[in-house]
Amino acid sequence: MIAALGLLVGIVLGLIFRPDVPVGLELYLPIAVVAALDAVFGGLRAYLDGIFDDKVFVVSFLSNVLIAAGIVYLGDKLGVGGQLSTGVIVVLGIRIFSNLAAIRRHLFHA
Amino acid sequence: MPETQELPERVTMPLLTLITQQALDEDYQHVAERRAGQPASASGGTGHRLTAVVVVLFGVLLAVAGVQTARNADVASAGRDQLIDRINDRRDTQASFEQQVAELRTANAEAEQASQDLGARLDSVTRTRNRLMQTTGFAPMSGAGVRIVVDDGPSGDRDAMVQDDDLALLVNGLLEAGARGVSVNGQRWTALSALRNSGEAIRINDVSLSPPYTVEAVGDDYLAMQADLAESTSGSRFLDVAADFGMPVAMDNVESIELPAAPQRMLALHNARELTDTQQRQPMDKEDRS
Repeated sequence: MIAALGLLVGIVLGLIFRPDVPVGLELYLPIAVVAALDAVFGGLRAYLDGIFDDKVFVVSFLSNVLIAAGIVYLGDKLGVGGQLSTGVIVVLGIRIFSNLAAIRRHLFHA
Repeated sequence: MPETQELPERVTMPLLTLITQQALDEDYQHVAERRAGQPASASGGTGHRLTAVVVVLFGVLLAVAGVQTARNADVASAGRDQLIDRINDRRDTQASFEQQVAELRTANAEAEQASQDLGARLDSVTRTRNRLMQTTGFAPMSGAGVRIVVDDGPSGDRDAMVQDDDLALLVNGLLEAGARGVSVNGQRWTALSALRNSGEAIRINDVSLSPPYTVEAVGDDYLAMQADLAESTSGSRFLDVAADFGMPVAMDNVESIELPAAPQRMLALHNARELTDTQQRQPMDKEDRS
């Protein structure tokens, strides 16, 4: 309940203030969002599994975002930014999918 | 192999399987196991608050990313629209250029046709001009013909001297006999030439002649020319006069005679008239037909 409210508040805040993303960070924002999505779905699955832990969630969220952005940044500096972000998105996408599958099993028992 | 068995599962497992199986952070598992060991610990309010903050952060992140992407999409599509406009513009330009090329090609073809027509007309006019120059005596001519030498009579009498009329009769007779060109003592006879007595001397083309007079004529049927000359009105009269006054006349058929051109000063324009539109093509057509 708190989580859903927080999400709503965050989205509304973001829509209201529309903070300008610095051009330098624009590249990393989508990757960061995908990483955050992974952390969120992981947390949701853990919650449904009954093993959710606040500290783990916060740490995994922040580290996911930072690591994903860091990998893309590193890739950019090495000239393989596009390929590395593709790799990151593939891995995160697979994780999101399997987490969602577990969530689905919990919710629909199917 | 024993080494293989010692390797942890994490190493031997294919990458995709590993990712799928470890989709859930192992930390949740570890923490849950640790908590199971000491069930007394209860999660405090700070943890929940932190989670809420992180979720808010996530929401902000989502919204910002969405807004940013939408904004960029505007820019991208604006750029795309502009590009499409430019492509269409260029296409229009290209089409108009192609149109121009086609028009120019047509014009070129017409101009070439006109040039060919003009060239053909120039050829025909040049041919006509050359023919006219030869027949009128303003171009050199060569060919087989007849050479006639006339001299004053031996009596020395004034009547026995060759007069302009006599030479004119001879020239006319030669023309009647089919001569295409005639010269007298190397002076080409032209349509504008006149044989005139000037004192004792005979003049043609403003040049004085002196006896004996050599009259050369080029004709197509040169073998028959002597006979034709005798049969022609002027020719027979000349022969009569020559016989009457005892002028010696010698005629020879010659295989090759060179007739010079008449002096160019005789080509001076004598008569001119303004060309009107209705007359414009007539002289040319007449020449083409001739």
